[in-house]
Amino acid sequence: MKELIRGLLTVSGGSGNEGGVAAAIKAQVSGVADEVFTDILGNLFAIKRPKGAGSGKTVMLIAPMDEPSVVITDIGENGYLRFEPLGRLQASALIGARVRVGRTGRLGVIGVESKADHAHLEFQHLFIDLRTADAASAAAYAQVGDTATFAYGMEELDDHTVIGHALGSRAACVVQIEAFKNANSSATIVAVFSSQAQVGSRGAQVAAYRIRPDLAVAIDISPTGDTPEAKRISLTLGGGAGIKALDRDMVVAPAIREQLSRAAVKAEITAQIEVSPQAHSEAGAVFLSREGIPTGGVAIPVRYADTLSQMADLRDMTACVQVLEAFLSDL
Amino acid sequence: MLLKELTESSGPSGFETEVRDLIRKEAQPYADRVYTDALGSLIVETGVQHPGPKVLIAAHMDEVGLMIVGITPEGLLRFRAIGGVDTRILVAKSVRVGRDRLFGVIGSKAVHLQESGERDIPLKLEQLFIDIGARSQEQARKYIQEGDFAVFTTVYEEMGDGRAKAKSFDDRVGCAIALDTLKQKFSIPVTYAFTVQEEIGLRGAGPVAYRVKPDLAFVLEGTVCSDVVGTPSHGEGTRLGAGPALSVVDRKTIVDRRMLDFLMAIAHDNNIPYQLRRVLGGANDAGAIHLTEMGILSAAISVPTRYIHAPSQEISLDDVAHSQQLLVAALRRIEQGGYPSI
Repeated sequence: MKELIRGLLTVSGGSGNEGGVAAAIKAQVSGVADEVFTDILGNLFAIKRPKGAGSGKTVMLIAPMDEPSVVITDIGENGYLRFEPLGRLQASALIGARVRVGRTGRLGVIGVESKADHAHLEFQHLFIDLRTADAASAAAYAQVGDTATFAYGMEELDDHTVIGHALGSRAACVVQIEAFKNANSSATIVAVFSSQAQVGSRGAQVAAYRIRPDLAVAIDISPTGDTPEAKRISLTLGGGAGIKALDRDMVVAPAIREQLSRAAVKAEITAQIEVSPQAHSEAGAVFLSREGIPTGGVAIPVRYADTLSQMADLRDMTACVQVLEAFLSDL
Repeated sequence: MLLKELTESSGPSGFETEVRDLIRKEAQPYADRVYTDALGSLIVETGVQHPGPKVLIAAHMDEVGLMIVGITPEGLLRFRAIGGVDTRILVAKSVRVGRDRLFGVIGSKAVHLQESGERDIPLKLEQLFIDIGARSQEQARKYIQEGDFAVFTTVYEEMGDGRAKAKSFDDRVGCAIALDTLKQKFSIPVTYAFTVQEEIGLRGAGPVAYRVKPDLAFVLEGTVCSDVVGTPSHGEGTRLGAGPALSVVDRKTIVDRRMLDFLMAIAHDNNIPYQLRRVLGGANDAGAIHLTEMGILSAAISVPTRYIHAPSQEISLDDVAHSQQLLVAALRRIEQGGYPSI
């Protein structure tokens, strides 16, 4: 699992530019999937049909592929790039950050105008320095509309704690890949690796419409409430798989939540209930699709979500995979 | 002159009737079918006998405006904005208001009566009112009621080096380009939609896309252009006269790269100038269209509009002509089967 996370963190996947991530995931799931395809928005779908007759039901799993990124909006005559955020980034947190232009792989550093007031810092005061002499040479590495993502990769803090710049998306993808690979279900399983989640669950919206599942489970990371002066959030890092009760976009129906909790008991793993009134997930977009889709969520606790150093516990991730396997095998 | 008629007619969000009637009259002779949907968008179908791909061309009819919310005992009208209006620019502007399109003037306390501190602060909405010349609330009420709208009175005029000023170029310029385009014949089904309520949340376009179910969509817009004093390059958004602005990303859409490359290649092949829109802020109907059903390939072609959402907006007529040339060239390419596919 660790090496899969590390591998997926080497690929840049800004919103709308998830092609590299999709290719890496496709290589992981193709061997076990009956069908793999993409759609207009860049969602990757992997389908696994039941062996034998099956229940006739379809269950959709969904995990986001895109990570927090910036989009290039202007290339100055001096070669410095101007940008705006895609996702929930704070301008003040980005000074000195290392970025990589997704399409070309060029490294750059985020600088700040000296006259900027740091108490009211906005993205218009920041720029990316690619170390090019002028606009013409910068254009070889970046164009308006390119996304740049953070260039840090994965570090291991101890034998079960990992830190990474895009764990928010890739940890969820890894859990979904593992669960999909191992799954043995009488239902048809559609694993959606979604695009454009950071900008408002856009991929999830069209994916749910296409699949029209009988049941859906959103797999996402969720912030923890176990750090100094944290907001009131139920999850703790290392506390096990999160079973979603409520986030900013939805309340999970008790029956679905209990179905996931029973799966945790059956799998004999530690689980915790996720109550995250501030956190977004794709569950909200999925359950409002078409006539309404019964939807639950499995949350990976992550500290420092939406920063450059997100922290996750591999034991929590393994627990999430096991909950999903048990859940899918009982459908 | 279509731009003159379109910009001088009244149609804030939710009140698009006058604009719709004008467009319907203009479009009818060239259409296979013209109808209005439940929200009020006008849908004009052409080339229905042809096989696909089906293309949707969308432009919104509504403009930003004002809505009357009360009448003072003195007969002055209290109002609120419909859509994004900078209230600082309203004082002393003339408007037309209500079903009879009465003239009115936006007034406030005279400058010599303002306290010294007050003069340094822009007037707030609560300090502004529309004066229609009524003597009393009773008299005003004969002509006006709460829920009536007001729009600016700016007359369309051409000026300077191939430029024009008017109100509501956002998005009557898109409507004008669509209307001129639908007078040409294409050997593919092209549906033109003149949408409602874009300025208050892209409301009309989603149901239109759901109904039409196109393979490809092009949105025609007037977009922000701040290439004026005191703006650095990265704050301009677009430049006036530099050609149609192609959207790359905005608040509601990350434009599909295949669509963007398609339009840039066509502009290049036909020697049509173009520019990329260099700002994240703002949104247009593509935001609703591209997320409809299983997703629809969408792009936006915009005419740079200085002083957008203000009473006097400015465009370059060259940009208008080039936007239309680009759209027509794109439709010709699609006719020949050269459209982006996934």
